[in-house]
Amino acid sequence: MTASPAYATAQPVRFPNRRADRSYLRTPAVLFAIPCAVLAQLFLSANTTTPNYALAQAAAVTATMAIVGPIVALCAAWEAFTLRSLWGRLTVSRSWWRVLVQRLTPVLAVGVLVQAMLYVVALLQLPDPAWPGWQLPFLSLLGVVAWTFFGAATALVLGRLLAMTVALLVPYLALTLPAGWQPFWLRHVNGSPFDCCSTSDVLDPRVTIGSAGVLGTILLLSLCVARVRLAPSQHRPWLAAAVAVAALIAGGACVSAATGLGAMPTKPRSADALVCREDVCLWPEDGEALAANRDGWAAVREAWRGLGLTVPENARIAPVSAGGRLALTTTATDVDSAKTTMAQLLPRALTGCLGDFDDPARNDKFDRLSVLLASRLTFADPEARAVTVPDPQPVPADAESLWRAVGRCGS
Amino acid sequence: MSVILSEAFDIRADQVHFRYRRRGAGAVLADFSVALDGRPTVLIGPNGAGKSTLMRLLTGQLRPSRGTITRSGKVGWSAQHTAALPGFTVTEQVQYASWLAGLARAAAVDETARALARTNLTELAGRPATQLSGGELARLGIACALASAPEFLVLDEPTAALDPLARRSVTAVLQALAAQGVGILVSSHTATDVGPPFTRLLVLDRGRLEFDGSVQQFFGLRHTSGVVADLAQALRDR
Repeated sequence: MTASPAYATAQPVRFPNRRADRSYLRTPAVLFAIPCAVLAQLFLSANTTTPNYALAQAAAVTATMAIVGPIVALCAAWEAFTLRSLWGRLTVSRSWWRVLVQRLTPVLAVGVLVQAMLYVVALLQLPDPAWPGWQLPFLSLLGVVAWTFFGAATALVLGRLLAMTVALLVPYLALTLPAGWQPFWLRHVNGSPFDCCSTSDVLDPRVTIGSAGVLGTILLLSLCVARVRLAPSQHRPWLAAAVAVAALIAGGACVSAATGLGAMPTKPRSADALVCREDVCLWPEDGEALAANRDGWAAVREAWRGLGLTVPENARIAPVSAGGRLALTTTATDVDSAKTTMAQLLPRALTGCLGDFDDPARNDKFDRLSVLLASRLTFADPEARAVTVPDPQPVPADAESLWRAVGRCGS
Repeated sequence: MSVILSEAFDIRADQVHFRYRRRGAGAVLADFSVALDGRPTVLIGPNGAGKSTLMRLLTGQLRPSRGTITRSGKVGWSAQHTAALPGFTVTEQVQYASWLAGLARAAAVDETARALARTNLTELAGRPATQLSGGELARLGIACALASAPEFLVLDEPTAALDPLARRSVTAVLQALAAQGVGILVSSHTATDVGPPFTRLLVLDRGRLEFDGSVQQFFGLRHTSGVVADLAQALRDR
């Protein structure tokens, strides 16, 4: 060990702001951050669902991954090209994954920040602050990470133009096309659950498991590709193959858990969340509809009794029939709509036939009862009476016989 | 600053065997041995002789199928064509190369300044890397290799495809580095690199070391190996 006079003479040159590496500010991820956020926000505002429900707002945010996913994949592909152009041409002493993660940090940061901003914007629109649960934010985070590494992997194996095209198109198609696919469960495993959620529903955990399986598999396969391309040549290549096979098996197992899903990615919400005032129970997010439901229920109950029919004492109405409640409420805020809905549903709710439409003769009797009920109601808008039946039109004297004839469902 | 001088430095390949994993690919190197010391060394040979593969093995870019490579210190490596990174200035690219080589960010900043000074790129420090000329780009490659604070530099054809002026600027940098005691191994398939600062010359042909001696011996001796004799004759005629 000897001191080198030559090294000593080569004095460091001082640059202004010499510690500032501003190359990050010129990366596509940073340049695209604001356009990406604006586009995603426009997409979000054009896809409003149930405005007062945190879960629905969060689901709308996950739909913006159709914008964010392709952009982060494209930016990651660009960054991976930087690595690819250097790889093997310089001394690289750091581990491949550390170099890759460092290179993709701006992309990941922009993706996560844009998603976080969209969650904040969406949740700030709620009348009362609420947390949508961890599942959808988790899927958003996993989506950003998976599509980022997917973009990087494409750039490590494909030519520049092809990789950019694949990075842009594959996430977009994977996030938009499944909405029209059958079987239905295929619509709910891309991290952006389709048609979620009304206030009566919560996200089915199988959606989270299935989506995590798909996105996790994309992430792990992308890492395997990166490992093969970036790790030193001939350095345990079987390891990446083994991880890829394990990822496919685990991903398949997760997806198989979601194959029981139907058209909706939801399951019924627990009735414990209902808020009851007087004889009307509503989900907390539907509080604006309380007056319409209360007034509508009072009018419909009186009209029903006016037909000579009975309603259980202290009957409560709610969005779901749990706890002996009649599933009659509406999210509408005008009384006419509430009356119309209740006039259609009350005969069916009292007989337990809300989901049974198989018997045409019985359906006709229910419709006639609804027409009779509606005829005793007063509407601000006469057109609000929705149900019509063929002649002969029912008269109040028919009510009791119709009611006896419909019987009960499920018994 | 205290560093290991290249005179004490050693890269050694012992009984190295290497073949690419492509189907049907033969061995590029078989039972190959060489020892490099601090002398500036030029490695020549015809195209396909295995020069780049040998350099990648010596610098750890490739792992030998058999045999061992030992390095007694840090080796800086630059491949044939230096990539100019879009969005990076010259300083930022060298700094990034330094970080890749394992230096902490603060140390990378200091080594970058030193490397730019030693490759006469200080004036171009703030210029986008993509705007460099061929000779400047070749020096950027050397700066990136130097940014890891190496005791030994391995450069794959740093003057390939350069015009005479650019080649002279690169040679001047190599001479200065050799004078500063940095060990250098440069590969070349052109005649122009067989001269100062190089004092040792290796000839590689089809994975075999056909000649290992001084530049004077290379030009002065009568060679039994056909490829060495041909190369010596070709270089004498330049």
